[in-house]
Amino acid sequence: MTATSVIPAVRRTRWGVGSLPPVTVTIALVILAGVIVMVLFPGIAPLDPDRIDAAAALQGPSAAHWLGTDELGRDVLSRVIAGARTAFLAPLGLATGIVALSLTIGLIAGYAGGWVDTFIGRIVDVLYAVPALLVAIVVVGVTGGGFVMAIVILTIFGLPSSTRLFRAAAMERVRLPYIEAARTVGTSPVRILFTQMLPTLRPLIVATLFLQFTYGLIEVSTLSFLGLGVPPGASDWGRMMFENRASISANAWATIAPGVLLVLLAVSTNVVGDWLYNRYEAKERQR
Amino acid sequence: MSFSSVKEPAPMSLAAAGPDALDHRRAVRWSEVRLIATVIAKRLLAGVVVLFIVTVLIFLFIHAAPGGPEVAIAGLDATPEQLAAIRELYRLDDPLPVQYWTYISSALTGDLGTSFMLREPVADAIGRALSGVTIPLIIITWTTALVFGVSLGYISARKRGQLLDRTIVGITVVGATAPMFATGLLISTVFGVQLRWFPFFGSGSGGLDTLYHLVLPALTMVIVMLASTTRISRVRFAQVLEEDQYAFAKARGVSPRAIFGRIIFRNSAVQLITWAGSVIVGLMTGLIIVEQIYSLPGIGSLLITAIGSRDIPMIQGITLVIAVAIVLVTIIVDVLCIIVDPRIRRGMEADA
Amino acid sequence: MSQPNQRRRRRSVGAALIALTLITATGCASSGEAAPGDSSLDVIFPILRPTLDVRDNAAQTLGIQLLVNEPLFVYTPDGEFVPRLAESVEQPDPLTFVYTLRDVTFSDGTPLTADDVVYTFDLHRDPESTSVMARYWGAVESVEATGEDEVTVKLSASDPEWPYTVAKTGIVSAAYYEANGGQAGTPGAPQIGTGPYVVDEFKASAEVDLVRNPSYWGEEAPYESIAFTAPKDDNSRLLALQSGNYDALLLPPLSQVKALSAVPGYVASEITDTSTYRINFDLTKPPFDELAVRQAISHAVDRDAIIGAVFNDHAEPADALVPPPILEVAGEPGPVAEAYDGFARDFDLDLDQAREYLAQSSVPDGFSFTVPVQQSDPAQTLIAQIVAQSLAEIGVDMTLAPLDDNTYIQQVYFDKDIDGLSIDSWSAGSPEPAGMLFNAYTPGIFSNVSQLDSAAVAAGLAEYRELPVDSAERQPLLLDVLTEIHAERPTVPLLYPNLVFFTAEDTTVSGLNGFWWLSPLYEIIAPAS
Repeated sequence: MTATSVIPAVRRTRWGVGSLPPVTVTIALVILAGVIVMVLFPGIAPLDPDRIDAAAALQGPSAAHWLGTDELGRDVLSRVIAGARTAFLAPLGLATGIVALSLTIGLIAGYAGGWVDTFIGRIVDVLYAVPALLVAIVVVGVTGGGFVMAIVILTIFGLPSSTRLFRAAAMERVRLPYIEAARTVGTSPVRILFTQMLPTLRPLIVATLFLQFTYGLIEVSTLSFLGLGVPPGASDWGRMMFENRASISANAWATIAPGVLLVLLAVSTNVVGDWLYNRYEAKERQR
Repeated sequence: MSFSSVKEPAPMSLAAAGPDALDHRRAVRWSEVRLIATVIAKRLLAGVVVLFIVTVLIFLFIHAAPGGPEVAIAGLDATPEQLAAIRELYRLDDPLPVQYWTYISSALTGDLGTSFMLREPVADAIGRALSGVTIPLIIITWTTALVFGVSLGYISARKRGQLLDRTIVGITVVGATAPMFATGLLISTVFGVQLRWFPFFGSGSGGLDTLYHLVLPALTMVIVMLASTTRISRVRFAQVLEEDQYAFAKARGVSPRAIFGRIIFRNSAVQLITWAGSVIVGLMTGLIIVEQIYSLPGIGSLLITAIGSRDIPMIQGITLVIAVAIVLVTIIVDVLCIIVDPRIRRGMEADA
Repeated sequence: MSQPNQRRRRRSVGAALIALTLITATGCASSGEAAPGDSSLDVIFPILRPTLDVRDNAAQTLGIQLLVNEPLFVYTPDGEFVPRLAESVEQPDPLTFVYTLRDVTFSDGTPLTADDVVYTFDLHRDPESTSVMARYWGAVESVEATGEDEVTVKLSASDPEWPYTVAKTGIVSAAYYEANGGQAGTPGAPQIGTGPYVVDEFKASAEVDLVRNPSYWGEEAPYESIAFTAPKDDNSRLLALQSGNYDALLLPPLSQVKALSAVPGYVASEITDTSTYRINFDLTKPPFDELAVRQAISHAVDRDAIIGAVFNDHAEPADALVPPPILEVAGEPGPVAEAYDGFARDFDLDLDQAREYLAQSSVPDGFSFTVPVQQSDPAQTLIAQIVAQSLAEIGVDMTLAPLDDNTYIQQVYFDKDIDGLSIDSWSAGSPEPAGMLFNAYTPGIFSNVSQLDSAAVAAGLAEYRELPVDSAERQPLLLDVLTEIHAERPTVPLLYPNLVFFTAEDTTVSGLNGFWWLSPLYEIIAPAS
């Protein structure tokens, strides 16, 4: 981007090419904090989320039940708060797994180059085209496998995009002078990767974590919505939408509340992830 | 599903692009035609390998599943003797490689077997599901999402930083990230059940009535696809507009038409074509969700019912069709990218 | 400027697409359904099978099948067998039945012959058959065409179910099946029969349209056409009823009856259905092999909560596996009520009593186990959750494992590979009073989920088989058998759900019973005149 100074007429945006205004990011962080509070302190739920009270089934919002009750008389608000736990932890686990694995593979591919890179590249190319969720639905449905199998499949097929990201980042850094120097001196590749490259990649890793969390949340909740992966009666947001859909006219909140929270959480992590990624990209361009 | 404004690096097997963007040559040389043919051949070969692996894996999974199809076929009142007889009939106790070979050899001649639950040829049932519901739905959604998405993305990129851009970006974040089943429920409840503007179950009785029934399902999928297409194209267009070549060309007074054609289009084409391919693949997953919500007799519902009744020929047939579709889309995308962007061609020649 | 042109072009293409869609959308608002009152019966049905092959249809969908493929004898709501395709039946000895056929033709003009009957019966009897009704043909030793229009059936043992089996079997055209590779009833080869209706259109699992058979041999049916549709979820069902395009809604989910009752223009008919929701214990799996444990659980289940929450009070508490109407047919209601009241005392919700029983067992502090749950039945899932909560109060910890139908059936009924408790619903397959008992408690039979092996019960059931059909001894014998069974507590019967029909005000409903599907639908739901 050497010509920038020569042509001052080119307008540059204040926030970079793809970013959002700071106020949006702040709101996203607030929402995220709210969800984390629900995860860490499930006790803030007013009632027992699993307490069945057949007589109080499908009531609308009231003083006793702020969001009404579901078809077995359980308090919707408490279930939504309890559901934050699976909603948050499952995608978090998935995202962590994907980032850890793709980081390792991508760095190795980008650093080693040559046939290692090509070999990994081919596999990633094949996996890249396959839609992870589709495979998960088919395999979990066919084998009756549970949650664990779904996570394994989503992890494997979620690797390609992040692997490419980290590979590209590694390739760009391999040519940097101080890396070259370390190589010539004879430092072991592992040391180089860990002590030299990794620290510079921290912003990218965090950004990817957020974005993979978003995809993971969408995938896991879709599986719950299709009835796969989570047992009946669990206060999981996707599952609640699946079970309460039939009685939506009696108490729409039982279906809407978990849905709204799903969307809020997904959008928030996406916004934060995008913002972090754009900051990383901006810094990269300055190199 | 990977929808966001994250810039996807070019596929690893295509070389990095070179700097020369103002390439005047539009015609494709003979050597390039040969190159393209080689690429297609290589991709096809790879595709066949992939299909082979997919069919083997699905085969293994189905047969590893507890509860074979004999229970679904004969029903709850079946006697154990009946179940054994059914397993005999369909040779379900033969060694797996034998069963696989029988299946593959007839599949290659176009005979995908007979559905256990529908008692009709799998190919017929799939054909009906595709032509009646799935393909119209995909075409409508794909074209709408791409046409509007790219346009919005362009407008947004041109006006980047301004209010219009920020609004569009804000809305598309929500649209692209909201899970499809959530938007589907919302749309079917509001526009279908409450307002009664459009039907929300079944596929109608063919022709225009079917289109009427596809409005809400298409809308559900379009929202996600359009939002993410807008985001991707906005990022790409904005990048191109920020690049020096654009500024240079403008300063030199090159005609807007040429600017658009050579700089903006040529530089974003690869991204957009690749993206168009992933939209189709993403739609396949979306189909399953949407067909469930709106009770459409398309290929997604067929797959879900087949899985539930362990209809082995149907499951294998549908996954084969999906795998073939994905392989074809990938090949077409690659070939189009090569045709469109000479830098890739040159990169490949350098590689070769 | 070409950029705005480019944009404008894209936008106008987009606008054209929208306009086209909207125009076509608003242009076809009419549904094309016949309005009620013009000699068509449009029915919202609970479920439709993927084919109209006689091998695939049983229970409710027989209600459709038998309109096209008639049986030799029809079972009427008042419990009579009326000749249909057979003019008469002779029984030279207790195990032989000789049917003389009527002289009629199929809807394609070919005559009905004894060969068609033999072919149809063989479709079900064949040991390799995929027929869902194969179980009922186990006692048939031979079927032969002993004349141009005479069929002789020999049973290997006395089978009280046999006449009902005949009433459930619609006769098909052997030539038609053969010409279509051994199958019919698919969209490509629609089913044909001798019946008052023929198939006009058929969409697997979604829609069946029948029209009157112009060359039907018998009395003309009152409706020109009968159409069946099966909406897959509550919203579509409610909407369909509200549209006013349908004359009847059969067997809606009981949780939706309240919402459906609010739709004007329809009358609800409700009776006790002949099916039972029940908890089964596997008597071979500890700790369920202990009577005290079973008794404890029997007192810990809150039936009223289940009936209220899951079925909106559209169900009756059950005290034995067999719904009373089935037994009442074989005698008087009095003795049945008396016996059942006796059983009822052992299923009272009494947590203290439950804890006492548990204290006497080998697991006084409770225990934990997993229960398979059939995902496709929402009622079962809800019942399981309520039962889990009740059991938790006496220290028994129940975890739910959702399974798809296939795995569930394989695991629970065939492999019997469960921890020891399952929850399901079981229907009576025919009006035969002992049918459910044969099915559930014959030692060694695969559908004997509890694996009850009681000599007394087996002896009682064997004795029953030998009794003549009109014997007054049948009901007391069955009540004795039920008492024997009850003493072992292999089952905790939960409830008998109700059966609800919504019909338009210009129709009359008569003869509605648990086996309505054995009789022609147009006799049950007739035009009001």
